[in-house]
Amino acid sequence: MSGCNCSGSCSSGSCSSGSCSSGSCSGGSCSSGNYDNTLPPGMLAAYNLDQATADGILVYIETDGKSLHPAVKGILGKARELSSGRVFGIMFAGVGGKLLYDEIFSYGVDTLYHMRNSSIKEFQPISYAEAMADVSHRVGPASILFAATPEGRELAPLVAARLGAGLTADCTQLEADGRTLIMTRPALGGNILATIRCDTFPQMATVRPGTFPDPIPEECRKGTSFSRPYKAISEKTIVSKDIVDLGEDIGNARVLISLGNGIRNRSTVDLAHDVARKLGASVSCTMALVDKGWMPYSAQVGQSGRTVSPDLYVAFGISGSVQHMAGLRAKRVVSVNKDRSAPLNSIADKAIIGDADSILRDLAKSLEE
Amino acid sequence: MRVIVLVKQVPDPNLVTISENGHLQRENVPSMTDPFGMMALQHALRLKRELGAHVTAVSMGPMHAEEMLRRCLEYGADEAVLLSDKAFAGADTLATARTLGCYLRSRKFDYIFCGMQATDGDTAQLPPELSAVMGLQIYSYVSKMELSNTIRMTQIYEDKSYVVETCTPAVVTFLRPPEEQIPLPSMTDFIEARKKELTVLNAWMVGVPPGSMGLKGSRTRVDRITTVVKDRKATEFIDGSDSKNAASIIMSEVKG
Repeated sequence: MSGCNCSGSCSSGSCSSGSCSSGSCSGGSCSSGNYDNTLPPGMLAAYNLDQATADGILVYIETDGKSLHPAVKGILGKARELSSGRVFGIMFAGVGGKLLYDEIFSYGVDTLYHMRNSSIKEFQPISYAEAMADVSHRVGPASILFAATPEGRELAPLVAARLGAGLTADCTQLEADGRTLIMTRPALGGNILATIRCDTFPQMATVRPGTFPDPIPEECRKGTSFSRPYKAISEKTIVSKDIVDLGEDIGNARVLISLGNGIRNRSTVDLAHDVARKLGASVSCTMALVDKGWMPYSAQVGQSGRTVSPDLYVAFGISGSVQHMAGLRAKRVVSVNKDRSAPLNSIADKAIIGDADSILRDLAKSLEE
Repeated sequence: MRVIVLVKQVPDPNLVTISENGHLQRENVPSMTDPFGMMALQHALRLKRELGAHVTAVSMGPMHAEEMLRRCLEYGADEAVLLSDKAFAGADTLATARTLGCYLRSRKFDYIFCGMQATDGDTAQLPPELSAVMGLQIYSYVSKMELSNTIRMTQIYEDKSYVVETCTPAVVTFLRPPEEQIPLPSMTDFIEARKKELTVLNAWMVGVPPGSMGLKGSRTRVDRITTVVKDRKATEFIDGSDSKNAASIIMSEVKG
């Protein structure tokens, strides 16, 4: 089968070895679930799905058109480290994307596909997914990696379903065993780590942002770039676009004052902002306060919000649901809560059993003095 | 207008325990309806109230998920369908998407509403995979839905938000519950729910090809599961009834 390198025009007759092996497997009852046994040999060549040749790692390079998404750099570095073959990059950008070539190559990319369509200005998941599936057929990577950003988490499953590939979400650890990718991800609110492999190539994974350190750029490293047009398919009709003010970036804060449902007065929220300003801290919160409209969504810590890793996390009136704690990677946690049995207290270094509102008020007072 | 809502039963994450040999003990753990799925149901019920939409709750899982679907009917869904078969067990997200897609192809609908993710796996992969399997448009991370002549949705991607004019059929995933909460079911709702239809379908009735469901249809394999050992010091409990004292403890923490 490996001798069949001809493209789509290859007649089935010339692929005799391929048709022979597929004949030995009686159709759907084949148990291995691999492509080689279930697809006609002509298709293996046309779509380059030959499992024996899949090699290299393809990385989705998320950009805003001007700069790389910070989460991508670490993944490019990791891909370079894991891949014994080539590292491919795919980027959707306008003309401005050309300015990023040198930076992308310096992180270890050998071949960059710069996808161009002058009519598409914003992220269009379906068009992107089709274009990525097309590039994947062309290069036949062993693995495809995405950053687990909202964009990556929407795009990766679309591509995976399109390719019929296995996909592991939100990995926090990647290892390579030859071409095989061994992926590890937390599950059930971080209580367990699951180690997962894919059965077929390409193996796909999204990687939690901030998992891998940024690589040291290798200046003047050269690579090949292809400018490739792609088609617009079922575009979304975007009426308006807004840049949400993320305010202080809670993801990078050293100290976080975090508020939960135990806060009873809305004025306490303003107080917390005062205290934070004086201490050089930022204010974050749980989903409950966002739902009340007391805090913006950008300040929400947890599974459906942001992941934060401050040195110190001071929680006021936070019970500590699994969803909330999934976003918490603090070095030190101080919990202020009336309820001694609150789950957050069990992971806190110090738990102060008292009234969150009044302690915060006294904290504000002590700073005024 | 017809809306399908995908709901899921998940083990209560606060009650799942891990046995000595590192296995998850899911048995006898009370399950709950995934809160993100409930959010999607609330949005669908809003469409029912304001536009008279027909709402169908669909789930795939073991037979005891019937109970959860009954609850959805009590909240106001018009119809519920459970896909349940031993052959579905062990499915990864792709196999689940293919199984659900296989069933949903036989249904007429305008929208498929889902939560952004589920609390047990939190992969957030099913909705996009389902949309790709069925060839539908996808609107992810919707925080707000505006109803006028058309339905406009606000999508949030990190620091960007888009208002999009939706077209149907489409898969929609929600980030937030609607602003207006759906009232808890009344006594009449409980009685009404008994009359509503709850269909259970097995693999044969759905007509899923054997190679695309369950463990066999999955492309990922769990190699092993490790329990995270949190080796940390015990929590130091401090009496905070004197809030001045408590404030100074926090101050000294901040100053390091």
